[in-house]
Amino acid sequence: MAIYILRRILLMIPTFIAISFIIFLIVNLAPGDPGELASSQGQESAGESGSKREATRIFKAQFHLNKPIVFNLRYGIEEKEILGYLEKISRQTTASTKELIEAEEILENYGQYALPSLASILEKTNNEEIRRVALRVFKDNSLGQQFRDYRNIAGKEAAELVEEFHKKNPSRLQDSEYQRELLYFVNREIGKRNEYIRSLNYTKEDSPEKQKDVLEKVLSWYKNHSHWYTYSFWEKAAITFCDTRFAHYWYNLLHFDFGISHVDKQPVVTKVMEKLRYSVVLSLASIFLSYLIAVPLGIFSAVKRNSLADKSITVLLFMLYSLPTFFVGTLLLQFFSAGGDYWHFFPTGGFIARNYVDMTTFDQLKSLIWHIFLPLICLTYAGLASLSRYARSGLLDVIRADYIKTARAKGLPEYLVILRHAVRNGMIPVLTLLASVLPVLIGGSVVIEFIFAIDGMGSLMLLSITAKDYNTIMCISLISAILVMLGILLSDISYALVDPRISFK
Amino acid sequence: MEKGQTFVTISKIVLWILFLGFFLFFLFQIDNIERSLLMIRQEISDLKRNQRLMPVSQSPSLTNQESSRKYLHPELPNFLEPDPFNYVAQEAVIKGKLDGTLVQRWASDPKGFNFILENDGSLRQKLELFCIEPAAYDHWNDPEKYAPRAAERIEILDDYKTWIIYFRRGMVWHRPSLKDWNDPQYKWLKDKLDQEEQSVTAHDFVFYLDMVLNPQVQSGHLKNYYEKVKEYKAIDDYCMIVHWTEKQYQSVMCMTTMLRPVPRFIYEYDKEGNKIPKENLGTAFNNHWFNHNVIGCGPYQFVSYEPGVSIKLTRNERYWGPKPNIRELVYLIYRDSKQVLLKIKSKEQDLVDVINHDYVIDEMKNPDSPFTKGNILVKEIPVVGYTYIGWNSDNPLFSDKRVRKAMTLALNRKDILKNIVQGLGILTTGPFYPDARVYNKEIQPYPFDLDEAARLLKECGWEDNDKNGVLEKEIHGEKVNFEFSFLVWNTSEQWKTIAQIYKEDLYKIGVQMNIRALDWPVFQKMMNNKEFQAFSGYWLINYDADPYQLWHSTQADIPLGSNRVGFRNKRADEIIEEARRTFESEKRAKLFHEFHKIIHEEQPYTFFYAPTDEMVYWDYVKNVVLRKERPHIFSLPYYIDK
Repeated sequence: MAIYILRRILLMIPTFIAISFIIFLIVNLAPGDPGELASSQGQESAGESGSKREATRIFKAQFHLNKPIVFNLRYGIEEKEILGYLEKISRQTTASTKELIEAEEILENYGQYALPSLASILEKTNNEEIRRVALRVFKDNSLGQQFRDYRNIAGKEAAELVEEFHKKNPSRLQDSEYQRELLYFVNREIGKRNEYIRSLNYTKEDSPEKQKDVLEKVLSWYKNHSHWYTYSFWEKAAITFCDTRFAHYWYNLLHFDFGISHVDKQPVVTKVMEKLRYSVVLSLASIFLSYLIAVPLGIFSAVKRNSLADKSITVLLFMLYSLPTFFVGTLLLQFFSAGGDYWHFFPTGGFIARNYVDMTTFDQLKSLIWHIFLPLICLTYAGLASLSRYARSGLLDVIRADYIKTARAKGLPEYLVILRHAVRNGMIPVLTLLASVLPVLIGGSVVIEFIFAIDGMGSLMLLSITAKDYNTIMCISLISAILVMLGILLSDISYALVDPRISFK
Repeated sequence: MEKGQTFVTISKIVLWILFLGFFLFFLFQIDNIERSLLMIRQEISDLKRNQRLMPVSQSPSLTNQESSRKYLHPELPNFLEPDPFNYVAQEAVIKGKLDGTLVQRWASDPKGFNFILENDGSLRQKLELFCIEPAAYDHWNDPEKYAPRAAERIEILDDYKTWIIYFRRGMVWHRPSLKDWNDPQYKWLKDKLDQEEQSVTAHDFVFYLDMVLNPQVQSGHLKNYYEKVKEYKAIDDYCMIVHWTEKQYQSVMCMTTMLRPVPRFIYEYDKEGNKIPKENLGTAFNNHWFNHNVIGCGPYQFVSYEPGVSIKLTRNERYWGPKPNIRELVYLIYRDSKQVLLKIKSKEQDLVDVINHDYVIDEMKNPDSPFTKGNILVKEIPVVGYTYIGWNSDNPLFSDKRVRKAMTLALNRKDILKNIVQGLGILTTGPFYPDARVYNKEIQPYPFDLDEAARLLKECGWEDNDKNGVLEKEIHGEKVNFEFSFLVWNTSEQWKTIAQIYKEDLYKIGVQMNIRALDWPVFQKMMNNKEFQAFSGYWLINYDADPYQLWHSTQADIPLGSNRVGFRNKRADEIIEEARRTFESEKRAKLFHEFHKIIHEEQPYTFFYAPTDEMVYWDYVKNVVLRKERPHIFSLPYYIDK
């Protein structure tokens, strides 16, 4: 048994990697751009657009959105391609607005991989316009990225700086202080360099001498640092697989870091944990409640099978099953909530009273139950039908068994026969269903959460999808993936535990 | 034997009852203890607050300082004028109703509270204005005049190129209210605040400009306003000087309402209290640990934010100016707009800023509803903005202004406004707000006139020769049908209905219009790529809007520019440039009247209407008056009379 469980757990690892890869691909390949989502839909405020380029660039770099998704072959970009884009941007060839925007974006995403080509274009070209655009793009792309975190310091130029730092401070500093000092040192140096690059500037009106001077300075800067931008074979191999969105994501994942949400810059895990408590309470309560109601109903139906009571219960449950929750939810609110038109029993939504901090535990519990009563009904009623069917058929299977006849024959009263002998065995399939409920616990319900203004996992997932918040989507999907796998394992184990006929030897 | 058994059972039951009783008693006691603990906590926090309530601005030493303050150019007039509007409701003072809570709605969780990074209208309108004190603020009833707030005096030199701003003394930063404030990691900040109060100084405003202009900081929406700032520095702790490279009307806004302090004593430090080096500040600022909190110096103090639940503000009793009448502002966070009606009717919410007009109509039919009984009041809010249909002038179909005019003539604006929009709007003819001084009131809107439209189209060479009901014309040697697609945003039911009506009217004059309802991101992308022929839009503007972004011809040629329709007019460009250098409101009005006329003749847009929102509130919220400029609902003068 232990070996079996170990094997299953080990098998989970490649499964997990495969799942993460597939989800990552789907999430990243979906059309749309996370950076450019307007907050208010349908209306725009005058005076708020404009030079956002630099900030967008930083944003994209922070979340690696400027990197290719799986393979990075950008070290092999041809000069011709870059020149094509430059010609479009400088209007040397006709291009539609769409192509213009695309060209700018592609050049921006190429980052430092475009520098060698850009430098050689700067050197060769005679066209004034192209040179001006090329210089601008060169300058933008050669700006070094400042690092947010000690762990994420990467890249050739940063490696040099790290070395320099080590030479200056031979292991004087410890741990956190060392990390901070190193980070600051690297960022400071990169900042200085960026300042210098930004200062190399000329406008159309400047004299040709000045323009030439600036150009020479840029080119000489590039020559001094060109070793950063040319790669050996092994470096190319490493870049191909490691300088990609997927690799960066997994690098962080291996450090148990799910990243930060790019909507509000909060760590994703904190966000999920915040919403999790609402969903878990709701789902746990609703699962408990539905078992509490459905199992006795199922037993009753099985015992009185084909009677009028059984049939009417079945019909009733299936009617409930077919009612959509958004409809029932709205009705319940309209009839039973404080803002509705009839009985003002329950609050209009929310999870707990606003001022719960100033309440005693008992009052908090009261307020909680009072608030989640209606959503709980909505969550529960639809599941009753299937669960009671499971309970009914489970019991029917055993009720015809020989040992039940034996029990009856030895003169036990009917209720003891059912409760002591039949139910215990008949409920095995219903119990093992519990394990598959695990992922439901954190999933939450989008519809119910929306109608009852509960800010749980369902609405977090929905919002993350509409906002293209990759890290949050990934985090939630991966957690559910793990829970699904655990759930399947648990249900297998529980089968073996309750049913001695099954073993995994 | 039997007797013994019953005895055992009875004693068992009694024991159980006793046990349960004790248990309940125990629970009850715990509840009581908890209750008293909560009360003690409340009292302590009240005590602490009262301790901090020592008003600073009234201490004698400071008033002396005020009077002896030296200005660099005392001969110049103060650019700021006090606002004649009375923020304190006199009835509230007489009745002693200076308390209460106003509960409103916030439609979705704010992404963060750092106003330099977030381009979020509701954040700006609600929270910032209450918590963070701008240098100056426009008058309640006159958006062209500015009243002192954090700044007392502004001197303008060098033909509007140099601004000297004197800030109020004695303003202190609120105490931050972090959720995990007692965590030892904030000891450094606590110690710092305990040692001395952090006053708001000119350095905080300099820090604001530092951050806005820092290329690493993601402040795209603010950066282009301050592009023309040459240099700035704090002369002393309460005076700042800003030099602009050129005279620019925008600088008025930049130096008054948009200029806000940023707490340097927090943002210059990382979470552990280490000072962040200057070169790192930009990157650190984007992801600063404090970005999910607010600390201000305004009339309200930020108390708490619970994601998905509520945001709470409380009155700053030490505010220098007139204190607001309402003690506590609460914003409930929920996304479902259907909840609005339930929440207001159940009194869980006191005021709703935007409500769907259909709800109001439904409620008015119900005789028992508080709407019909007059307990919930409805008020119309004119929104400074306009809706329009944009025509792509770079498209051969709409390159002729006569065609665009014909399109305007074919839109039955008056009837649509009356029947579809239900009268919630004002018809406009140009790119300004109808109530603004710069709006040319002499221009009459084009009537709904299909015959004239058909005549104009014929004049441009559009004729239906093959009698298929659709006009044709030869463009570049090719026969082209007058058929185009009209983009509408897919969740706007109103625009979809309007488009249907428009489509039918256009068909009568032989124009085939196809309606395409799109998702907002797709819609936006198509507009950016200029892959459209016509689209519906909605601009929010200011009273005195700078038309450069929308109408200058340079903005038509840069990628992602806002002049999507490709409006290019030499005279209009001249006016826009001149207006940017003109500060006198009379002259500006004259310039813009001419500009308005050009726009009206060219018809790059078919201007439609300036919409009106509806707000609803309970009758115990008194003195609900509206500001002229956005935010229109601004609760400072309101009071609660329950």
